[in-house]
Amino acid sequence: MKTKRPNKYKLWLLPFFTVTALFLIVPLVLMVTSSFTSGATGAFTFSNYTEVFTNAFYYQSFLNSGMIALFSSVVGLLLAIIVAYAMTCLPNKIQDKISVYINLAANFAGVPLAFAFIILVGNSGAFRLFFDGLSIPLLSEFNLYSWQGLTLTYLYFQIPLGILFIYPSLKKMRKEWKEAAFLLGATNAMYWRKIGLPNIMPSIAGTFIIMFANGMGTYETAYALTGSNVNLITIRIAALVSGDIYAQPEVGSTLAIIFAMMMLLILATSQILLKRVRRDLA
Amino acid sequence: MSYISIDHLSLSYGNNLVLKDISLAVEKGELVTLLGPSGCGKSTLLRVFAGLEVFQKGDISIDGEIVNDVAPKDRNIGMVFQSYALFPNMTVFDNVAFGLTIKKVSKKEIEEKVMNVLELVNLADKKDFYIHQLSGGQQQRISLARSLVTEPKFLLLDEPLSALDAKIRKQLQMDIRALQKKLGITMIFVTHDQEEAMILSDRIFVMNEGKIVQDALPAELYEKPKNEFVAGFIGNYNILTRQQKQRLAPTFSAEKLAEKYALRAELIKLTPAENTETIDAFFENYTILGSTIRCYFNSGGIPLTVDVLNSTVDVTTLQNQTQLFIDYRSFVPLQS
Amino acid sequence: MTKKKNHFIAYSTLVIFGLYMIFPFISTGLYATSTAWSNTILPEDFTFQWFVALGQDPNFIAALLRSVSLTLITLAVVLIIMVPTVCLVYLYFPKVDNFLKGLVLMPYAIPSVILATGLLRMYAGSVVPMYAVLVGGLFIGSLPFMYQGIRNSLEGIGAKSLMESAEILGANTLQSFLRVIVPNIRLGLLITTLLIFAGFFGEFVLTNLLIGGNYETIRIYMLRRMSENGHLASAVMVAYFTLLLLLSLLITRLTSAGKVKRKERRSKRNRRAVGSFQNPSETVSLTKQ
Repeated sequence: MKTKRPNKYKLWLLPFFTVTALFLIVPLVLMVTSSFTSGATGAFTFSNYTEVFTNAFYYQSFLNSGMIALFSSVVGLLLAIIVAYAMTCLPNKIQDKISVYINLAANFAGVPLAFAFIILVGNSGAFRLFFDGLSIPLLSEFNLYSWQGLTLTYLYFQIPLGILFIYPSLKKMRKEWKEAAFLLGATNAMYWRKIGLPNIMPSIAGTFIIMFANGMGTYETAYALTGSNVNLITIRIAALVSGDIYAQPEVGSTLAIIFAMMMLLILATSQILLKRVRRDLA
Repeated sequence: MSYISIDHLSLSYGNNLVLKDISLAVEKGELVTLLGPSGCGKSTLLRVFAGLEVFQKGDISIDGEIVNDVAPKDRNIGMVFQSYALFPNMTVFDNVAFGLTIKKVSKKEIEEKVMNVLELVNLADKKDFYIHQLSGGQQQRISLARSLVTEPKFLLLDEPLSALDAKIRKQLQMDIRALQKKLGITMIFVTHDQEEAMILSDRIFVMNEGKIVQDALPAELYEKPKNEFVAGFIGNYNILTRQQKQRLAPTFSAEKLAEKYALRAELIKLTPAENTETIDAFFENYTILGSTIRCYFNSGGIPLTVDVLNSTVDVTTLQNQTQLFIDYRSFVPLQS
Repeated sequence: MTKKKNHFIAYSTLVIFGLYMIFPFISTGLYATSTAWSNTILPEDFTFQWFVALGQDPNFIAALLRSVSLTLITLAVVLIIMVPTVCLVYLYFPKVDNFLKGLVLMPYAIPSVILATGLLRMYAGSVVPMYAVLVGGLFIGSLPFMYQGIRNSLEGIGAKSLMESAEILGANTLQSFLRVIVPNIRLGLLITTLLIFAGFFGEFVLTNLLIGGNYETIRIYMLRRMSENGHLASAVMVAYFTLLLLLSLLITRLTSAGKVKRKERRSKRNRRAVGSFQNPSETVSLTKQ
């Protein structure tokens, strides 16, 4: 063919790009402009940013979200690695089935999850009664409606998420690597330090970033569990943009922009770090 | 006018020139091979025949008609893919019948033609099977049948045998050649295997870096490689610089002076023969290739590979060999 | 000899993990089938009264219908736009495909709450009905999932050479697409659709923030009931998950209802094309809660 043929199909891409522009790109751009707009006068201003950066309340919401996301992703990641590694030891048939169930469980996050945890470890939850009955003070200090409770609840969906990302890379680690290393005289520890870890390190780091982002962005579970009691960034933004009395959409936009920037920054630095980790450990 | 011809054709992906000013002609009923290492542009050239690639300069004509802008579906050609590209949602029969149903051929005729071509590839009994139930060799035969059933003007084969084991590959090489002769169909075959090209082809186009470097009959290609690349790619040659040739054969002067010369390994003899000259050399090593033995000699710092028939030599006496015998006419001057 | 021991540890780990994953389901189920469970470890009685009450609650039925209609409408929009787009881009526009690869990851960096903020900023009080905005927002949220799902299926069947070989055999682009590509990606597409269906059906963040109280979907209903009557709320959740489960079973049945021969082949191929673990993003879009 001397003339390019596919050009006539370009028109078919129009609906997709229209929808993406209307519901993703333009709203994001508007949000940026809105964050520089005064709520009262509609004029250009930096005041939304100064307010967000000087108000300890907003600062705290970032910190809370960050802490919960950090804890739930570190612990979640560790457990995910253990479970994913256990899965690789099993026959392939079972492995496939487990993945289906993990998919199902993922749908449980949100309102149902919050409620299930209330039943289990809430103020009169079954586990609490169980341990109280045995006089084991395991849960007596525990408060589900605090950031501890949120962390525990987040773990429920963070672990499967971690498994889904870690498992394929564990699976890719060839048995022959281990065998070759042993034949060359390596110990188990040496194998992991020199070959195993360097190979899965990038995906562990990548998974951590995704889990952290997921934890930061979680809204439904937190909202269902604590309403607006715990000061989280997602809950703060939602309250600012849709609250009836205290609605301050410009400040909400500003928080959302800062949040999005943080996410992008984290994702970008992780990309750079990953490249380095790969090189250093190699 | 040739049956299929390509005239000064150039193709590039962005800044990457993939085919550089290609011209070639194929006659009706010929089986020609595009031979070259991976990345030389042979598959791209094949896809140009099919109309699957966009090129920038030149012309392609089929049966006297310029077909530059004719869509693949209107070219009436057949193509066999390396990956077979059989339709997994259809049975063997439906796969083969696909081209005919598109042309709205009557049901009775489809049945007849499909069964005929399935007989031809010896797979009539598999007509109700699904593709995944067949072996690789069978799948490739179905792929062949599917492209033959529409009686195309010619057939393109893109490394069709490279995914198969050696034994099945050999068998299919024979089958394809026999089928091609029987039906008198024109075929353009792409491969990176010089042996396969030699076995199958009427003519071979050797390609390198987007250019056709030699167009020759198989025997001619073997006897007279045009340049160092072809000689290296076909193998079995000692490649010598002019100085090295001069040292081995000081009294020989070629009509044309070349920088490099090829010397086929089996034309260096261990015993004197008619017209041969003597050179001093010592034996280094040997490997047994089967019917031939490849011996490694050294003549004053020039390594020489010598192929001799297994039946004519006793390997235990090889180290006693201090002389080799060459007919000076065996040196093939290479274009640079 | 250590192999046996390793397997034992692996199985125990997985059993413990499985219990952890399944406990919330069980407790919800128990709560839904009892009237009193406050001072004991296990519930004190067993009843179906909450389910009966649910069936009689017009609000529940309405919420269910709203969720179903919202899901179906959005799904239709997503499929009609995404399938041709991804196929075309994959087959003919590799550069656009590369761009899309990056674009569809946006929802990862931008959680639903932020997307909702932007959408409210743009459309609140405008002539565009918020329902349409919600559909658009859900569309964006499903991007990574849908794109990956369709693309994996296309890659799994080697769509490029199938398309080329169909065209060389004389079929035009539409014929090749409908007779060769579509039948072969059908199952992969269905599984992707099923997973997205579950995601849309259980959507909360966008719906609540964009339309909220005016449009009570099943999850919003669930949340409202939770603060009123826990047992009833549990019954809603049980009903919701049973429904999801039935829908999955129904749809997978429908796919394999073809010829027996096809069934065997399809499931085999599909496992290759859209194996659940080859595509982690499938679940991700559903976990963004």
